[in-house]
Amino acid sequence: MLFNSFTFPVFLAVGWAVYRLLHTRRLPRLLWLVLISAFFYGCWKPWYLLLIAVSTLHSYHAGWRIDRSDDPGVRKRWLILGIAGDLLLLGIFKYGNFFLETGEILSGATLPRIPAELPVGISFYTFQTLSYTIDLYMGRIQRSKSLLSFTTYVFFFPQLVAGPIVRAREFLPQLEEGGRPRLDKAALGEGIFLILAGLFKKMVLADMLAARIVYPFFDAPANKNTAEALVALWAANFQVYCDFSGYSDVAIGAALLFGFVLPQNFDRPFWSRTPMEHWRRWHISLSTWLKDYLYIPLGGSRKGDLRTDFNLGMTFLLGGLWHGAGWTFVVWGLYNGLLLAGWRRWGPREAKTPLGIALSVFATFNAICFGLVFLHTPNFSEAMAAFGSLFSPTQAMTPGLLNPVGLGFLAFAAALHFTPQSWKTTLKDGFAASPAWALGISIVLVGGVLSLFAGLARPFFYFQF
Amino acid sequence: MNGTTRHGLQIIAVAFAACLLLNLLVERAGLKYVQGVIWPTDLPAFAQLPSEPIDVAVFGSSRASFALPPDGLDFCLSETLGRPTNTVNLARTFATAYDAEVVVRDLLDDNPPEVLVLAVGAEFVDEYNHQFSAGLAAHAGVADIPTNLAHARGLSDVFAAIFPIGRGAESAALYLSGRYDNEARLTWMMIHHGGGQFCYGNTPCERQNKAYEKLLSDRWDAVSANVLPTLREDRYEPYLVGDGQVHDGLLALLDWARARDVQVAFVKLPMHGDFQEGIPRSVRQSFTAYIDAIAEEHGAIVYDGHNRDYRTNRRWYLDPDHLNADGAKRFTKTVCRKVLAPMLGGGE
Repeated sequence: MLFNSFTFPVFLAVGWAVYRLLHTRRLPRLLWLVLISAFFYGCWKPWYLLLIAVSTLHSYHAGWRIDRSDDPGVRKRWLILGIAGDLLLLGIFKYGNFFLETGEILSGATLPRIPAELPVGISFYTFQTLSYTIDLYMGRIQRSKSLLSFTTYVFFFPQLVAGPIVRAREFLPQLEEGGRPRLDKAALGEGIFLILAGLFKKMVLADMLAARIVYPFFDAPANKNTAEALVALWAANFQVYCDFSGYSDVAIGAALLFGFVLPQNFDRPFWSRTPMEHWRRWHISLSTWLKDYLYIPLGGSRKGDLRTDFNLGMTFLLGGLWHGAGWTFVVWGLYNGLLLAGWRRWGPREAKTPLGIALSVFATFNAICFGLVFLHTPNFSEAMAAFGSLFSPTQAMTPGLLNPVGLGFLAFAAALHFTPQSWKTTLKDGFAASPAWALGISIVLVGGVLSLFAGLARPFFYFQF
Repeated sequence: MNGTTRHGLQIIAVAFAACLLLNLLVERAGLKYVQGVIWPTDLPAFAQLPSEPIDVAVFGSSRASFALPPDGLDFCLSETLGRPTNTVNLARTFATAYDAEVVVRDLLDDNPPEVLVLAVGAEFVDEYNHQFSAGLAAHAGVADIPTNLAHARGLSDVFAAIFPIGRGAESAALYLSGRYDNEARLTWMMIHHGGGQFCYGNTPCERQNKAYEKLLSDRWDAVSANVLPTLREDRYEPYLVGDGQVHDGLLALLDWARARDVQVAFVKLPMHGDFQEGIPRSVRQSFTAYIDAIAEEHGAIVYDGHNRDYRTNRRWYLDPDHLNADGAKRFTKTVCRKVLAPMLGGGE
């Protein structure tokens, strides 16, 4: 089930109303959460539920084995088994065909394919279960005493499909006995605000940018003018931001309605003055996950410059691969790793003057934009074509590519992003404090406006006969 | 129940009530069909149907929208009958008899046509039509919700059944923003040519038809690659006629026609052999038997437009089950001469 579908508000209203009737008793409350989350997820493909159930049971079992033993060897064995099991599922369903295709190219032999598509959300919930097993082994968290709590943690629908990647130590305490989720009217209003704002970002800004500028450019990136390529990359950066941060806002808002707090996932990333800062503000739950479970265990920045460069490169390379099973994702990850390593060593010192800050922000934004070429193109020849266009100032402009509507939405998205946080907070607090009738009518009105943009990402909607 | 729960339930109740009220207002204002633009007949130009008597109204799915251009029919009928005629094509994507009945009731009650053409394929009468829930969501009213919930066979039917609650907000926003008529080509097709995908009679029309075909030039390959391989499982398994909401819709439609002395013609549309092969023989037999029986019972005419040439000749098609402009021109002429002109008192 998609957040931006008609079914979601109906699901949310029914799910919430029953949840509130049950919320004083832990067992029915959690059972209901698992049930509606399974329904939410099963709406894609029912067999996905089998996969997530296996992952949940496996991780819970591994955690139980780690917890009950004092023998370091046994604990380590179960840590490895726990991690291997999760990675095996991810490896088969996300990377299986990628490895087979690569093997086919290298060996020249014809290899079979795995006859299943990528299950939605597997990358997210696998990282959650991995964090549980590792944190338990490291003694950072207590074992979840209840399989139901742990299942709720993995299945919880707002974050199940696209994050934020919630750590067990952040979420499990909210589920355990005595940790009853608290909800007041202000939080309720805030949750609704975040959902509506997130949907606006996704359905209006991201989809409009995609339909008006990003797709028209990346569908045929060759032989475009420098200005067109540059604006398309800026638009692509804002599109991905509005899409993903919008989704995160909906997830955080929906969780809030049920009394749960999910971590912030984006912190106005385009204010960043360095690529390092950008990755601290962008997809924060993934960045911190990679830092804690990959970069630091590899040695972080503690083992000299060369090793730090290697660690950065490796972390971002695997981060790229996490985003998608393809060589363009690997190169995108590697590009960002090298960018960070290079900037760390040879980049400009932190700017102090307003002009210096503005230049740093602009340079960082563009450096991130260049990497996006690899995320938006299916193969290297298309990527090279896009880069070629970036350096073609004399190329004739393509009529309609830089259209006023697309540019208007790009300006709007930028203005929204760079708006002071205090203004947004004032708006959110004002909305949250509104009476029930105002909130109810707002939902309907905003819903109507959002419906105008449903399906815009498809340029010729009526061709689907 | 604590204050927060009460507050939340109040919000839900207000939102629900506002949706219902808005939907009621929208339908009262004649804006029910201001929906997302998918097809010419989705436009509010529905409300701009001609006030003068309608000779022929065509219903069916996208296949009918392509196959029977209304001005092509008018051109031929006027020539044959020696008087101007007035045809509209109200076919909609994936429409079933259920959808047609609702549209007829909504839009033609005050101005019934002389002939109702049900341009059909096997899916039009299939109770398990794979897009039935989309039709339900597009056409059903708030009053239909209990019935449709009772008939729901799955979750998509349940959500489609309750969709009319939210449709008013969508329609109002579409109307107020002007988005409903921003698709210039579609608006033009509906207002100036009574619907359908192609038009005839002047150079701009021909030019537009060609441009449209060019735009869809990859349709044949796309459908062959993406639709045909799983056609049987996706659209015809299971297949059921004669018992359910679609059947009830067809009976109501025929009763409506009889009560208003409207003649009815079932026109079976052509499709290429590549597509036809994906329809199981048992489905074709059920469909034929069902249409023949119901037509006989209600005094309707059945015309089978499918023949060997259409089965084998790719030149008439955009894709294996949608005619192109030349195919539509040819088929229109045949239907005009063999079916409609005699029903309207002239021709063969």
